[in-house]
Amino acid sequence: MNDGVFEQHRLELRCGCLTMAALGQLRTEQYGYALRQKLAGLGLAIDEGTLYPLLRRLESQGLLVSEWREEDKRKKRFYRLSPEGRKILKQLLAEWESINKALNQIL
Amino acid sequence: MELIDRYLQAIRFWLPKKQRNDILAELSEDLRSQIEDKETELGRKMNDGELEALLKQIGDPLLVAERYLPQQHVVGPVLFPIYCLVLKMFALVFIPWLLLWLGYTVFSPAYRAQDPFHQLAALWTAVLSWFFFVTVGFAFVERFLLKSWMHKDWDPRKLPPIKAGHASQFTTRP
Repeated sequence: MNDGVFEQHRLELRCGCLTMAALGQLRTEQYGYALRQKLAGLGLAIDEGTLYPLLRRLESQGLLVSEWREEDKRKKRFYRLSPEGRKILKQLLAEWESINKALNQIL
Repeated sequence: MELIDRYLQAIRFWLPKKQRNDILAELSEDLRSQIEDKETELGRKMNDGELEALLKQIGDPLLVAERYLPQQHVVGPVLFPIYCLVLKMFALVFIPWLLLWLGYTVFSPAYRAQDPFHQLAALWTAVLSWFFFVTVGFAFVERFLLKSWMHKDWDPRKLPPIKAGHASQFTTRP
């Protein structure tokens, strides 16, 4: 029961962080699997069942743009940050920094 | 790789029609990369057990598909308390009715003689149809009206007056 409660709070905490991580990494264009590997390499592993729905939602909100392109003879969907996404990311980072600063003093 | 095809097919069933092919193409590309990377690491083909373990880790097809769907409710969390209240009010009408029927059936031989279960069936039909209409009504509000209601400004002056006999519980420093 305790594990379940922790897991729920962990997911809530991760949710916004993953959005920022994805937006941040997509300043340079990438396809999903490469993005997952990059994030995992940097210490923020994200499974396929979480990343792809997230990317789709961000695209439907106009924060990302995507296109199918061939690479190594295989079709891959490449995502990158849109100008609108750049703006939102900047605002999110400012928000994140102020929360972080406050938390550091609170805790 | 038949197992992977079966897995993707099971996910496909639940996906929204318009995005089906697109979502599946992307997901299967990810799976292909995962399997290829794993096989390079192992230096051999993955066996059935390892493929099963991989799919198991990715998760139940319905749960995987569900994350691509918008959150949907018949009656959502905002309306749910009102929905429950209305159902309870109907229960308050139907329960005395049921008790009355029970009383007549047990204590009145004359009533018992004229097929009381016919009455009970009628009562049951009434309960089911009220439940149905209330639910359909709330589902309609949820689907078509709730958004515009939520955007409306609420007016604190329209709050109901304090119930008779209740003292004020809220004071600030004099």
